[in-house]
This record gives sequence, structure tokens and C-alpha cells, in this order.
Amino acid sequence: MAARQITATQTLEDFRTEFNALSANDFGDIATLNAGLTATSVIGAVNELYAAIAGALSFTISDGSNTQTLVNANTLLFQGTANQITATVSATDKVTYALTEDVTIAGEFTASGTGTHTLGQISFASSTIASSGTEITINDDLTMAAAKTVTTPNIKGIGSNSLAVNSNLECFGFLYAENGLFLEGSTADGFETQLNVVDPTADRTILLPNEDGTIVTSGSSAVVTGTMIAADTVAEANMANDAIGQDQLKSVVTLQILNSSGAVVKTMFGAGA
Amino acid sequence: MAVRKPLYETGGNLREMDTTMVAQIVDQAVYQYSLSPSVALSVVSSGGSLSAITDTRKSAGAQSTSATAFPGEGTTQEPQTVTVSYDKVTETRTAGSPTADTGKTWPVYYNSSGQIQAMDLADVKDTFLHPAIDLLASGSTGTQQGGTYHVSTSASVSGSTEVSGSSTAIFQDTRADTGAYAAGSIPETQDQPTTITSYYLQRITGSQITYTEPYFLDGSNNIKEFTTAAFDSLLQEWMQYTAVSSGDGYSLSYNIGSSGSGNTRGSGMADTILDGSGNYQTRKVNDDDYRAQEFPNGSAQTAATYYLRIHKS
Repeated sequence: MAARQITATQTLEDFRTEFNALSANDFGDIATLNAGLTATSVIGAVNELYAAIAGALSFTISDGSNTQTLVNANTLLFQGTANQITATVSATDKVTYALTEDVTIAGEFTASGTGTHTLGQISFASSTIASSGTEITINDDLTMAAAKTVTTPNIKGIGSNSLAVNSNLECFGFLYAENGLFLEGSTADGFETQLNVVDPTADRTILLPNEDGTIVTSGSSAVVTGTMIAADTVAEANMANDAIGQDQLKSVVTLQILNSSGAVVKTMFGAGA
Repeated sequence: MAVRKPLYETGGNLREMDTTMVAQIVDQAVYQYSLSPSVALSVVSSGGSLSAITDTRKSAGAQSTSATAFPGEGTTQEPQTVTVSYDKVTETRTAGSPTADTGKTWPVYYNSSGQIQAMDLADVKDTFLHPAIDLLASGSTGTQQGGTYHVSTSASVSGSTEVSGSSTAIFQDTRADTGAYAAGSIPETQDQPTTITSYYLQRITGSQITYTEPYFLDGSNNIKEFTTAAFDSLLQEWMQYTAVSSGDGYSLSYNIGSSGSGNTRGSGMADTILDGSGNYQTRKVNDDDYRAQEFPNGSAQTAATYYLRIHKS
């Protein structure tokens, strides 16, 4: 809205028209003045407003339980210290709240937003915890509640920390263990069985058979039963020298060799028919 | 009696020999004996150890003479009997020292319990040695009697060797040569014999046998096949020993005579002699010299027949 002006060359009619417009549009219809104002002139109304503002106008701030009235000339301070919210006042009529670098929330913390919540490199989005780094390190025991399942393509232990699973640990990919698997057994004590491999120099595949049973090791003694050995597979080289006795022969028969005096000089054992 | 069936290998198995195989070994024992008989006969000029036998023949009686007439037959000497003794055969016995049974010396066999057992000497005797001696002591003169002797009227006999090597007869049957006597020659030489038959001592040549080598126990008690040389040597040693020194009736010996023990070997040596009472002949040389002499005559009769016998005892 530009200021109205009458040049020297304009007519009186121009002056009348401009004046009417000035009265109607720029000063306004007095009939529309707020009823709270009693002045009948512009100056009077301005003075009335000034008096009101500079006089008794105030406002109240409340946290819902407690109230505080701020009156004219009072100052509302947004002042944060360590471990408090920092408020910054800036033009125009703007207050910016910021947290300090270190924040301790004595109570619970709930962020209801459905977007991504970030703590350092850790982000929480919906039900997903992620890291902007390469990995998330849990530097303490990790316990899953009963009936809960950890589903992951990779689980990797660091240092001497343990991965304790009180129920089932399922892996649908590969389970890597540089130093072997330690099996506690039924008694939680200082004795475990380590399951390890000789350092492979190529990819190896060792299959556990699809059957119930007990694994036999080189430390086993007298545990391999005949039923474990496939028929017709024990070769001559598998037999220890001087190890097969007559008791191992089926329907054993003997052939004795006697000297001319009838003394047995040799006995040969053979399997019967 | 424990005749065994030695074991041999066939198809990788040990099997009992059949009687044919055992008989082959017996024949081989005979052959081994034949190579060096331990009871040997030789021909000597005289003084042989075997009994002497005699050849008899007739010779003319001594002439009778008279200056007046021919001597009567009754006063003329009858033909005489000439006796020649033959003792040209000597027996030599050499037992040797055979290999003693170590318990594993002889072939093995399956005993009645199905065990493999080494034969002892008694088994060997019953199975090999004594049957072989039986063959040697038989009256036959084939190769199964190799190394034993027989008498032949021929100095050369196929399958035998004349023992003297110079066709020296061990007996000659002679008779008076009646054709040699003539009345005109009275007094004839009284003994004018002619040889009827000469008898020669022959040793039978043995025959090598191809036989199946039996198995025996070696020093490690393993069952091993005899080498032919080793088993032949054992057979020879024990055949030689048995023929000389058997203590159970299987030693061999020879005798010569008209009678004796054992089986006769070869031709009987007949001593034949003329059976005539004398052929009275006279000769008048001149009126003062009348002669008479009885020459041998008659038919040949066998005075005795002598045999070489092989005896097992």
C-alpha cells in the first residue's frame, strides 16, 4: 500500500476521490473498530492501545500444574546449564531448544516417532537397530528372554566374551568359530569340551550322519561295534599284524602239525564252513 | 602196520597220495637202491663167501694093459667122476649211516584225527622201505628188482650188467666130450671135458621213476615240498641200511645152492653128467701090447641144480 499523494496538476475531483479512498480504505470504517476500544479517532485508539500494552497486559506460562504470570517488562529466560535443555532466542520471535552434549535421563525415555532414532552411530528405526559403523558391539552378556529367538546371518564373538544361549541357537547359514566350539555339557563348571578343527588349508566338508549315535574319536577305546563297519570293507591293511586269534574265526577249526613223535609243533586255526 | 598216505600239493591244497603215487615212491626207492646196492655180489676167482657149488663130469678110466691079451672089462677101470668146485661169488654188505629221524625228517600225512603229522621211521618202513625190499626180494628180475642179482646163461642180458665185467662165469657145467675119445688113441687123456653151459652173474639195472614229491616239515615247522634230490637221498640211505641191517626181517642176503631160503634168481645152474657105465674100448698096439680103457658114455643126467637165491630175513 503506497502513500497517497495529489500532484499540483491534479484536479479537485482527483483530490476528492483520493480523499474518500483514504478515509474508507486507509483509515478504515470507525464502525468496525473493536468494541473494547473507546476512542473515536485514530490517534485516540492508538493511545488507548499503547496504554493497554504498556499498562496491565500480561500472560501466563504453565506446565499444567504450576502457573506463572509474566507481565509487561518481565523477561522470560530460556537458560540452560549442563545436563539441561539449552534454549536459544533468535529473531524473529524464535526460541530454539537444544540438548547438551551429555544428557542423563533419570527416568524412562520414550521416543514414539516412527522415524529413525539415532544414538551416535546406532539408529533405531521401527524395530530395526542399525549402525552407521561396520558393526554393533555388545560389550556385555546378551540374554534372550525365554522363547525368544535371535535371527541373524552372522554372529561373531570378540575377545573372551561369551555368547550364552539358554535355549536354542539356530543358524541357517554358516557358523564360524575360529577357536572352536566349547560345549559346557549338563554341568556348568570349569570343564568344557572344545570342538575344533585342524587348521584347514582348503575348504573341507565333514558330514555328520543322519542318525543317532556317539561320535568316535582317536581317544575312543573299545567302542566301535561291528555294526558300524560296512560289510566287506575291512581290508588286509586294516588288520594289525599278529592280531587275529582263533576266537575271531567263525566255526573255528584247527589243523595241528605233529612231528613223528606225535608232539604238536604248530597249530593252525581256520574258519569253519 | 601203518602204511601212510603222504601229502602232496595239488591246486594249492594238500592231498593224500593215492596208492599209485605211493607205489611210484616205492619204485623210486628200489631205483635209488639200484644205484648203489648195499648188499653187493662180486665175482672173484675163488674163495667167494657164498657157498661153493660143484660141477661133476665123467672122465675115462685109466687104461689097462696086457702083453698077451686085451684086459677084460671087469678089470679095466670104470670111468671116473671129476669134480670142480665153484666159489666165485662174494657178498659184501655195507650198511652206511642213514639220516636219523629228527621228528621232521619224513613226509607228512593226515593222521586219524585229521592232523598233519610227520611219518616216523616205522611208518616209512611200512610205507616205503619194506614194500621196496619185498620187490627186491621177489623172484622176478625186472626193473623193480634193480640192484639185485640173477644168474643167466648169457653174458649179455638186456637190462642187466654182467658183474665180473669180463664175462667170467660163476659156474660152468661140463661133461665128458665123448667124441674126443678114440680107441686108437688109448691111452686117452682121461679128462676131456666139454663145457655145456656157462652161467654168469648179472646185476639188474634199475629204472628212474617220475614220482610226486611229498611234503615234510622244515626247521620252522612249515610244510615244504621235498626236493627230489633230498628225498632220493633219504630213500637211498635207508634202503641201503635196511637191506643190510634191518632188525625186523627185511635185510637181504644171497645164497647159492641146490636148496636154500629165498627166491631163486635167474637160471638154475645144472650140473649134468653122463650116466653111462663106461664105454669099454681096446687097442692092440702089437702082439705084446694089448690095451683097454673105458670111456665116458651115456646120457646126460642132471646131478644137481644150483640156484642163486635172494633171501629176506
